[in-house]
Amino acid sequence: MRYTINIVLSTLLIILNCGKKEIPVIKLSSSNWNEINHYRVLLDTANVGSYYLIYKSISEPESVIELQSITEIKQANAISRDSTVLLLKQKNLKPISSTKALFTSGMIITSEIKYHGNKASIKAHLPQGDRSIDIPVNINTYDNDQVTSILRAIDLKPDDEKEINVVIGLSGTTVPLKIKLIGEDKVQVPAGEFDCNKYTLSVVGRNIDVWYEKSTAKRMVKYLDPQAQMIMELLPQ
Amino acid sequence: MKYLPSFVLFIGFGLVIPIIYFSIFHRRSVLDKVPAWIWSITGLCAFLFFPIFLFRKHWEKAMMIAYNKFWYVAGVVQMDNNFWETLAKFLIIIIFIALTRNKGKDVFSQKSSGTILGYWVGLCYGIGEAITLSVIGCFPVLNRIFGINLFLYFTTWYTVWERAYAIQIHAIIGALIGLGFYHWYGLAKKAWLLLFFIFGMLYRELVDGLVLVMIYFPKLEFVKFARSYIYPITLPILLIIGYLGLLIAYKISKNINIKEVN
Repeated sequence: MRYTINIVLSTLLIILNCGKKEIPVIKLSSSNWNEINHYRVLLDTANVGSYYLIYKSISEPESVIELQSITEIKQANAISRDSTVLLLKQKNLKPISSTKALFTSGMIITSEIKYHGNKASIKAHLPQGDRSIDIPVNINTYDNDQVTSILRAIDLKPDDEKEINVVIGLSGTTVPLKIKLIGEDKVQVPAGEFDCNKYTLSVVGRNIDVWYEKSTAKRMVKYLDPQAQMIMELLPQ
Repeated sequence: MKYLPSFVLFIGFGLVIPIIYFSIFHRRSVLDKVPAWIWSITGLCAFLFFPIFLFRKHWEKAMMIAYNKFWYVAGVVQMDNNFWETLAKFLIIIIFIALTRNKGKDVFSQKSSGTILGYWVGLCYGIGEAITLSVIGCFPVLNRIFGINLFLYFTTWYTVWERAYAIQIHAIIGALIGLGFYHWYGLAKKAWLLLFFIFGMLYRELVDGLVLVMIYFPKLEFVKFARSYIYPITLPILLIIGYLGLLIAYKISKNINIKEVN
């Protein structure tokens, strides 16, 4: 009997510890951007809208970056607009809060996320009603709407791959996202020609290619989602 | 007014439809030998098997995250889902036979009673799905337990409409499994049970596979049409295909005379 209990308890301990692994912390360099980056959005080569990334560094009462991302898409007489305001810590780009408003199909959906140490509290408001949930987060969890900004502050070597988790407010969940530096590339966009680092983002098995300028500004220059056939290209300032 | 769809889903689908179905069919063929409490227990088991079998979503989600190509999601992940959903109905019929002993075998020795009971099992499983999804939608904390994401799932009239189709799709699969058991007990063609099991899985694949095509290939012309008219045209067509398949399977299955069996 004692032998059986030992076997059962040992097996349980092995099973419970199997999924646990040390999480290597991904360091992001401190940033104090103050700029507006404007992109055109192409779907199947047709210009369908704009994407804005507006960064504002604030020092008081603490050093934060206010990041506003706005996406406007016009397709078949329908307009959708996604506007998010994110507060990030300047020293490591950790998210503090996020407020999103999505206008689509004549409907307004909003969400708010508050990031605490080990959890994110999400509230969503829809015409049908409200939803709220607390989800666990770890040291490498960021907001989905800051992904295109994370690559400006991450240090990767060619073929290096790092994994982070991103919180998707309107799904009330986190998903793993892999970032891989593919190599160097020269890219021509309306803002000019840029020497870039090309990265691949893998999220839920979907691969997205992104190009960031190699100069100190490290702005995102181009974004290509082959599955959605969507391209975003940096426009002149 | 806001809670009326939930009321229709919980009371209409949860109680009224099973009662009507039981009232119409419980005296058909040899089903009059099955007491009402056995019908209830079988229906309740079918209802509960949906949440019990829902934990599969944890590994199906992991499979999707690991490799998200259409052929893999449709051919492997979705088929895994189809297998467990069909297996759930299969096991509920096994429970029914275990509870009723020889009476249960008699039920599946007749084509009509076997099909009616299979449909009952699928119907109650589908009702279990409709109510479980609504409950999980109301309490998003349950998402993590079951490995699904229904954060923005609300019980609206569209939900009621869609579930009315989905319940019947489950019922058709249940009826196909019931016909499979008829081949086992009534016709002594045991391998045919496996064929009906696969037939049920493939019907499920047709329905969910089409949804996956809509997600992965949104630009196809027929997808645009199917998506635009999903409730008034697409789902009814899938339902008609299911009922036609069931009717053909029923018609081509040989009849046997119970007196000959006895």
